[in-house]
Amino acid sequence: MKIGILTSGGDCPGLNAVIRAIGKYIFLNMPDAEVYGISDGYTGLINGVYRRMKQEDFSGILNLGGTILGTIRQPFKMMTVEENGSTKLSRMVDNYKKFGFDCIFTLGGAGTHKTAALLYSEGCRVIGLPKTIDNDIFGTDVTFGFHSALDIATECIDRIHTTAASHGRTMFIEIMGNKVGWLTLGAGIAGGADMIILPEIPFTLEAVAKGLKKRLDAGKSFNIVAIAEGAVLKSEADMKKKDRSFARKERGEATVTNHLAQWVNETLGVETRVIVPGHIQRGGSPSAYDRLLSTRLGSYAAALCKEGRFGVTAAVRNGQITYNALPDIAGKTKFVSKNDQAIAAARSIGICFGDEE
Amino acid sequence: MRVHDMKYSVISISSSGVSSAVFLDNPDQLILRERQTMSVRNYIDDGKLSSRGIERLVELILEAKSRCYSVGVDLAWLIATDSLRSIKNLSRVRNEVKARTGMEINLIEAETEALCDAAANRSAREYDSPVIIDLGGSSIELFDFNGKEESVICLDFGLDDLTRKFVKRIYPTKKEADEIKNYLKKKLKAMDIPKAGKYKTAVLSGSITQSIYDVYCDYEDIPIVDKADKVMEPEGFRKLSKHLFDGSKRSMIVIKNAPDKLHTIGTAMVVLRTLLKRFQVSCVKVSDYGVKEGYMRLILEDSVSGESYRFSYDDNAQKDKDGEVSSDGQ
Repeated sequence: MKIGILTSGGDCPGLNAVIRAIGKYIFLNMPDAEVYGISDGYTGLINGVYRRMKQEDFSGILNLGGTILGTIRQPFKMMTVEENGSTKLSRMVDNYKKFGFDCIFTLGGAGTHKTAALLYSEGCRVIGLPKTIDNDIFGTDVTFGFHSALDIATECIDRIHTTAASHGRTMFIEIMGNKVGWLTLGAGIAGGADMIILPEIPFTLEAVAKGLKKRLDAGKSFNIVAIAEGAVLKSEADMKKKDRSFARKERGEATVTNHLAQWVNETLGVETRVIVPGHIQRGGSPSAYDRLLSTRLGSYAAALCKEGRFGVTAAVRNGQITYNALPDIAGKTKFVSKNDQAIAAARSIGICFGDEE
Repeated sequence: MRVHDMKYSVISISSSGVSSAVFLDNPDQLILRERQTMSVRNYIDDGKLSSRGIERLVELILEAKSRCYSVGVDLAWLIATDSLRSIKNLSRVRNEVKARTGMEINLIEAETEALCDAAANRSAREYDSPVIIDLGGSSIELFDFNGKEESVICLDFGLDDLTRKFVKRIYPTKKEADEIKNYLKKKLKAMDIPKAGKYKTAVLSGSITQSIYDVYCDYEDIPIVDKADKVMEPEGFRKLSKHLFDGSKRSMIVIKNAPDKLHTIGTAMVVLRTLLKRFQVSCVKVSDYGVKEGYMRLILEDSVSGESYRFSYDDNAQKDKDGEVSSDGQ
């Protein structure tokens, strides 16, 4: 059996731990199988770049961040665009067949899963694994990489407290998460933020000002605001994405954070600063939680391959590792529900979400 | 059994997921319609629904039930059409669903399914010589509105059966498509299904035809419209059919619009094309109404019976004037 492994999309902690679990399972339980690392995600499959992996390649990588296989982003919508008589999808399918793969593990986020569903629909045997720091993959309670990023983002917010208090400033920490607020919500609560602004709960400037002023009037000298990179103003919420992007570009920004910070500074007369931890949230060694989760997911996925179950993706449901059919989750996003218990808990202890007028 | 100002719901299990519809007082007053996908085929092992499949089914039913509760539904019926009829561990599935959700699965036979389609689409009588077509996983139903006597025609095989029998991969090849077509033609001939001339309007009911319509609209780059105006032009349908066999972007269009129908859309196109060619209809309409709406109507008319689930709302969960529940409940 020829088995390929690829990592696609943004990197995140835990990728190597999953690769390790898959590799070790196969060498132990499927000794006749050959394992191939596909370089740089789908780019490697498009161009036919893979290398045979030895058993020792899977040692010493459990606590390594990033991915030993490399990754390059390949947007889903470009997969069927014709170039020189072929498409990226057709080249991947041709290479899959030519090389004689029996299965490919695709470790990636939402976009990777959509492309995996495309490959599956063209007859390739694919098993997905849910990788993202955003935790937005539908059908799984948690993705690997999320908890490591949560630890990092929480520490950022923790550390900001002392400088905020010392200078009496209102600090805006912009947390990653694409269009969802899982990381911001978790880090905001864990880091003790006073206000949390999520993409799922459009905010108003007035409500933010009201919330911050309430603390200042109560004698607090500083505020900590955890704001998701995908946060939207209520006035922007109904705009089309490109109109919103255009409006922000006119202001010279990609996210709303700087605009908000400046407005608070001008309106409340308080010093504000914006902190963007950025790709630090993706980097470094995976946390213990993610190493454990990645090992469970990777070994489970390898067992699915041994069982002959393809066109599925590993998932976590109610604490158990299980699987979902790829077509059931491709293209869907797991947003934070406004009724999420964590939001209710946060509100109950006085954390504002920028929507209370 | 009619009680006014009640909210009713029908939750339906099909081969591609769990869908629900909530009505106020009668099926003409739809409040809510939702759908969660579950490619049942991916959870079948040796003819049985796997443990993971049962787990997923229960999850989706509980989600639908929770949604019903949040909008103040009074009575709900859980139905399953052809999706579960053929699975070997049906008893276990029914017992587990009952134990974990409190809801009994009402199994709908093919003929009843056709009657539900007809009940949901009574307005189709206004069309020129209509026939209702419902392509299910384990059966294909035709409801003949034409003539003095309305009649049900049920084929005892469906899209899942044809796919299993003829299709090796995901989409049928040209050869496999011809095999499906020939098999279907033989069956239609044996059952003396009418040919050209009897029907002028085909009314397509069911989720697979909804999906075909969504794919058709994307392919033809036309906006999806509401209700009565969903029409597929024969030429556009024919071109789409060809595209799904060998178009370079066929998977993209299916994954974008109907990923849960991945395994059956190819077969469905062959079947539909064969039927439409046989009937030579001049108009193809896609109905928004199907088994759920029809079942609701027949239940309220006392034409069919089924075990219902009654929601109870405790003192802390008050319904507001719109019947919405204002606090967390079950």
